[in-house]
Amino acid sequence: MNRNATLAIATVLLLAAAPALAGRTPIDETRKVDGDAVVRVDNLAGSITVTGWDKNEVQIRGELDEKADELRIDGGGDHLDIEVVYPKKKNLNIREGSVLTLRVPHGCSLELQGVSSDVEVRDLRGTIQSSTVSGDVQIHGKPAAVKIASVSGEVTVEAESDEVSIESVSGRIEVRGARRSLEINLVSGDADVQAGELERLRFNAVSGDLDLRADPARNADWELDCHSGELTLELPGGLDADFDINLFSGDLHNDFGPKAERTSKFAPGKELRFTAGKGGARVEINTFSGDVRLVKR
Amino acid sequence: MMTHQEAHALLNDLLDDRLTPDARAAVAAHAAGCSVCAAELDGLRRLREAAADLPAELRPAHDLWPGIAARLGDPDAAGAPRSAVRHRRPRLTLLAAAVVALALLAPWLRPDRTTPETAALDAGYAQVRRDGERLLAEGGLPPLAAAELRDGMSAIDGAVRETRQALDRTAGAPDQFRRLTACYRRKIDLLRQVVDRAART
Repeated sequence: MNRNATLAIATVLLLAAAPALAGRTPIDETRKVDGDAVVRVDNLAGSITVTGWDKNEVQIRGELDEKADELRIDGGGDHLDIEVVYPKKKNLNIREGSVLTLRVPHGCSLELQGVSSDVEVRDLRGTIQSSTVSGDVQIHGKPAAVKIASVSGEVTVEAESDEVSIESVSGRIEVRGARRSLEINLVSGDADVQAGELERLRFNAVSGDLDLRADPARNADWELDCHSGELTLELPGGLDADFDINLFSGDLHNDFGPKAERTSKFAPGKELRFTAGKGGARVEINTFSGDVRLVKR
Repeated sequence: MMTHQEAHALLNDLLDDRLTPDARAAVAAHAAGCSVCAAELDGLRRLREAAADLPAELRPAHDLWPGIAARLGDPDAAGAPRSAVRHRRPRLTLLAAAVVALALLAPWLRPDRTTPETAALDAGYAQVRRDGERLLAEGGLPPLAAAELRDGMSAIDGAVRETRQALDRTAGAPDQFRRLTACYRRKIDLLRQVVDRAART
């Protein structure tokens, strides 16, 4: 084989191997933003990790997936958009996805979006919104509000936040430290909540169980609706609340007072209305076939 | 395009002329191509016609009992003035006949307790479900999101079916009925969230 032929073959082989050699691209970018900017991050697969810091800038580090076209960063000042852009075609067959590690000002608000991205946020005071399908979500710190939509990922919120809202289909939900307002909409996952004093609670589930340990605020407004899951509420012994409990075919265990009675001689269902202590907080519970346990702690 | 389940649930309303023109056309179109719905519609029509032909009150043309008693060889009953048996036996016979008739007609005599409120909820639920089915049929969802949507819809379907049956059983208990309709509404909201979230992916 002559020298030119060898060179040609080597060139072809190198070109063919170029994408594999290129691999994952390191990311190291910084942008100036306001202390209370809104930062939007869209990463289809991989992970998004955001931590608050004292600087008025956003630092973006990590690795770009080999199948991604680019990391697009737009904006500055009061908003910054960060997006991992993939070619517009089906069956991308993404394996690892992109790893995005951000440092943002403590006062920033976040809007995070992904499909199979894991999300982790720490030390932010703004509002955090996250929408994913299968990635796990973890929020820690003292954000003003947390709003999470997930399909099957696990959601963990360990946050002293005044407003927490979580929607999920089958993922497990764990909440620690929420206060004032908590809303959970769930189809079949379970929820484990240890909250502070809650003024407003909404729990709407089909077959998911709820274990709740929280205190109703003085004039609290709680509504829990579960079709077939079991509701366990661990409540303080010296509680002042008006209970309105309705069960179609489920059972009630009640540490606070009387048993539920038949609603009507002619229709199925049991109900119980009673006042614990001086009353004041409103607690309405509706289940279809799920049991209810009111446990005094 | 109306699903079989939706069309089937509206057959009674179609005969009662309680559907909008669009819904009427959709149910009729479905029944034209569905042997199950067509047969049920035909059965309902025949039952109504038969019921319409019944007189308002049934009275025997004359007292048959003396003749029957004579044939049975009961001289006391045949010759004597009719006593207590005269009243009791025909009543018992009629009662037994009514029980048998009710048992036979039970599938057709399911009480229609659809109220404007439950009809609106049924329609709302059917609409959200259609949106979910369309989303799945379009095939653009990531496989996991599609599977979760399917599972979520199935779980909520089961809950709605039970709630709907419970509504029929509690029509006489207004408070229970009101609570169950509220639960039904919340399940529709939940399904709407599930479908919308899937659409956003």
